[in-house]
Amino acid sequence: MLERILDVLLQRWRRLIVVVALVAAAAWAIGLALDHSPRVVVHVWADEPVLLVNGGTGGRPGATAASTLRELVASDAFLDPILAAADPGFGSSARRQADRRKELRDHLEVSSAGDHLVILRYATDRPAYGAAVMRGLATAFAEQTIATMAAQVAAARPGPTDALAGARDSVAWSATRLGTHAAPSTTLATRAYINALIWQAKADAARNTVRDALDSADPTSTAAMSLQQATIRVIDPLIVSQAPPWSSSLALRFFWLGLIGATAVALAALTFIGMTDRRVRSATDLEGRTGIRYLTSTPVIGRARP
Amino acid sequence: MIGARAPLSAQSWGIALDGATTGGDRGETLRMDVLPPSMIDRCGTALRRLTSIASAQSTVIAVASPGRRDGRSTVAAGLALWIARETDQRTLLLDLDFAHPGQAEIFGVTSAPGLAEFVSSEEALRGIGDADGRLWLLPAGVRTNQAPPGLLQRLRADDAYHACRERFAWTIVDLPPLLDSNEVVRWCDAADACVLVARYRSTPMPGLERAAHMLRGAGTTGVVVTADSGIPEWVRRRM
Repeated sequence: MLERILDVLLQRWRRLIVVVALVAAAAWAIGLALDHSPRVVVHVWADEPVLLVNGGTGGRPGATAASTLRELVASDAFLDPILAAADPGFGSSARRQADRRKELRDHLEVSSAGDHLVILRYATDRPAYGAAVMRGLATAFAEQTIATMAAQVAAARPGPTDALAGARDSVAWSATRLGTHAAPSTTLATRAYINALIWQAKADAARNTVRDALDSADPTSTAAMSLQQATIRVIDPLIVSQAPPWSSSLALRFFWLGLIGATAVALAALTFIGMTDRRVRSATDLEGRTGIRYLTSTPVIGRARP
Repeated sequence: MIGARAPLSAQSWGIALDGATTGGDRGETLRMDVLPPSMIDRCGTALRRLTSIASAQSTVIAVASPGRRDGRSTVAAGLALWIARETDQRTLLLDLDFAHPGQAEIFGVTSAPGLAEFVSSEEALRGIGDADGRLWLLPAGVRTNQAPPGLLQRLRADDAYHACRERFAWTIVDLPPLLDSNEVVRWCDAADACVLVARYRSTPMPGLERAAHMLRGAGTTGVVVTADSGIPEWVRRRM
């Protein structure tokens, strides 16, 4: 039976894809039409220092900032001060807190455009509240980014002094082993090791410049503020938009629902056709039901012959 | 009009065949490029898989299908063309589908006069050969809207095949649909092998099962599926 269903699938896969795509597109359009919530839109500019949040491994600042923000929004500790500032009654009950968090997480869309731009869209029926939340979110995000970067530089990092100390330790360790084992390195090897560490430190110099700035920065100081401005900043005034974006969460939910539903219905229909259709579809089926040996199949050669 | 001709004996068949295949008719010659090479190759594959008949001195292969439009005539022509192409043995293609003669159309020659006229009005049997005289076609004759009742009955399969075996190494017989007439079964039973043709995604399975049941007395039998949609055969085998 399976081969019959597979054959029906092979026969009709183009139609199947078209139908499923049409249904999904129609569901998406319906979702878009039903989505009347106004949206508070914020454009945030992220610059290269934001890459240090991920250890400075390269990438696009906009995408890094967007993914970091998505992670932060999942944290209650990050969200609660923002929501409390925007909604005076936030702390009145645990239920209300949970509702506000869920509502924000469900209706906030964070996306990046180009290398630097991060777009935050928050669909809410209360634009004033939404604007307050978004302002708080952008500010808290910038502060959190700086805090993360500052925490990173507290970790040990390679530098010329550390490298020399490491090399010295290495030589000392080798010396203690003399008499029982051969020395692990020669003078030449020790010198090469030290050189390699120094070169590594030079390669890290560019990043260390930013780290050094952060080392000495007081979060309230002018230096830290200017660093924050150089990392994350809101570049446009808040916009309250009535038009849902293409990526409206309601429309996307409808799209996935349509896609999965249409696929399930289409597969059920294929199974039904495979079970009820009585035409020749497979060699095994043919041999099994007639008891006659299958020899070969011939290609389609145009119009049917008698 | 169908005359009251007595069933032909093997000797009468032999004389008629000798007359039909000595010299061409109306200057017509069978072309060998009427089917795509891929089609002919697949027919050759089918023939090779009927291995039990390969050692026979002269072989008659009946080509039948449960209904119309299954590709039976094309397969019969493909088998004949493959044999003519790959061997230097004399091959005869016999079109016995009087109601819907297809071989003359495939080879682009005139169908009449043919076997129907030979049987019904005692006209001389007409054969059309290729340039080398290895492949010969006996066309069915004038196309009729409905097969004249009993026309096939007037020919005895054993006698016809006997005469063919004496003169040709291979005889391919294009038969009418199996489910249209019980007479067809006799022609399949008398042949050395029978190729049952079914059209992919078209031939109903119950009809094919019935045809297979009717052929249970026939010799070596195999199925060729026509109108393959392009799925590789190893995939089809697994399916």
